[in-house]
Amino acid sequence: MSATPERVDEATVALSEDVSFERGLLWKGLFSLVVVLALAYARMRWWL
Amino acid sequence: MTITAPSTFFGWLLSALILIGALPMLCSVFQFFLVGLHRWFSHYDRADPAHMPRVAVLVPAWNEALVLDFSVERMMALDYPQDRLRLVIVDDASTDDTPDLLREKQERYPGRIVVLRRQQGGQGKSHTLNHGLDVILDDDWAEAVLITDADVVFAPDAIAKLARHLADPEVGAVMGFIREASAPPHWLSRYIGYEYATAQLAARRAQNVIGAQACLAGGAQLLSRDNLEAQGGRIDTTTLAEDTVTTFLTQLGGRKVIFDPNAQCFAEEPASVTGLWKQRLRWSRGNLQVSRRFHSVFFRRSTVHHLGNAWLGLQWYSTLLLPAFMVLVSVALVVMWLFDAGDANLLFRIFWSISAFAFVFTTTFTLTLDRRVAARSWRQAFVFPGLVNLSLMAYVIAPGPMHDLIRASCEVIGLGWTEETRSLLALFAYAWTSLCMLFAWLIFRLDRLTWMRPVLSVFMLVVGFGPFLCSITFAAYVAQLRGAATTWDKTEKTGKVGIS
Repeated sequence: MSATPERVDEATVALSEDVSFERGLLWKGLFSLVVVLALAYARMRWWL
Repeated sequence: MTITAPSTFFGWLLSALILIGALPMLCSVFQFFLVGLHRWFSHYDRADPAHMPRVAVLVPAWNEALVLDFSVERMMALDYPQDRLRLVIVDDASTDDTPDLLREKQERYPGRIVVLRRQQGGQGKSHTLNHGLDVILDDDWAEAVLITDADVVFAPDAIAKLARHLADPEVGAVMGFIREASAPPHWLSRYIGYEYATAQLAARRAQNVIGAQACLAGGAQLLSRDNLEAQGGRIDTTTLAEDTVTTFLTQLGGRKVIFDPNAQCFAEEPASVTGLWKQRLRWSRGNLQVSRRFHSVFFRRSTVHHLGNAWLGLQWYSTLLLPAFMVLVSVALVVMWLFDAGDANLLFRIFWSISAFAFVFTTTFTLTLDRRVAARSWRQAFVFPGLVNLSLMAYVIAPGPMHDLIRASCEVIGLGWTEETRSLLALFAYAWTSLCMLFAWLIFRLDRLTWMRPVLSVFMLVVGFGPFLCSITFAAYVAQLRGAATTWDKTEKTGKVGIS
């Protein structure tokens, strides 16, 4: 049982999925930043 | 809130100390900015999915009969070419059923499992690993060695995902994500699960971005043969953090260390406060030893490695010195309060505002990094700093409503809303960054009383898991200063790992 073409194909697909996941990190970071900015706005607008 | 500059040198000094105390949080925020850039700095563009080197999986085992059955079976079923995977288990003179179990596994999987036995055991993991490395490196079969723990269970594709990075000859070591997977999950393991997401999924991605890793995952590290041989084919036995020493030596030798967050494995974590304390005390003491050994590496540029990166140095030392920072902040606030209560209040608000926004940003980001961690540990993520710290954050975020709430609470319990009450509350709030570590230590001590254990989760909720970890680091300072023996405390595992 060596590195068969099927196994390599599966590994290639897995690699592209992993790369795709990493691409989404920037958006997750921006979302988190928006949450913080919303909290900062709420503090200034209502809670001071 | 009107901001006015301190009028004296002493005021400036105390203000600077308090703002320096916020450094760990600012480093943490910067770390998450780096995480967002990981897509451009990950190693995936140089990974080759067809690269499947011959891997020897090295497992140290000291009385691990409870966990080995499951982990060996899972290892034998991995999605990796069978003729390229060999399991080498070093029985560290176990006195339980480990030898019988290993004999049975060897018979069941002939040629795929090598069992070695040390006659004198209990010297520690690194001695056991070296026994195995001597045998593995004695012939030229293994192209890479995966060092793991007896209880760690790998996802079917994990080794292939780690190995793909070794196609790049510049890579000396690759690590995966160790997912906390105690089954059924208990309150302590849920905290650890969330902590692992921040310490691995976030921190190690950020370290990928800067090109320097601080520490290989002890239970999931794949080392190239070249790298191991360059280190003399031995794992460090002089410190309690042999993984970190390997990480530093790899990079000092000009080889890269890569974290692959998608190569995942599952591990059971300590189920008791005392077990966790002992494990983390060993880690913290190891980090102090490593800091001493490699102090000249930090904050210095090199053409060979990136360990001198300024952010890595700040992150390393701010984590290591976090208890000192916390004490510094509370002492500076209390002293400032004695001289000028107004300035103390202002700096308190600045410090806790930074804390609050950093907490919201990093927690939100961490929970988006992994759905399973989010589903399992989201409650623990929100209460990670503890209810008292959360109240202080709430006070600076929403001072009006919180002021009314505190006043009403004082009146309910019969405390008049007098100047004295307000002063006492302020002093308590200023001192809390130190006091929380003391209370966290008390939780550890209370774990010795069996009848107290059912309520420890409530105490942890109030004091916070973060301060608890901080307290352990403080205990590590004390242990190192006292020159306490560097004995290896084995973390007890029961084999209850859920991998679904």
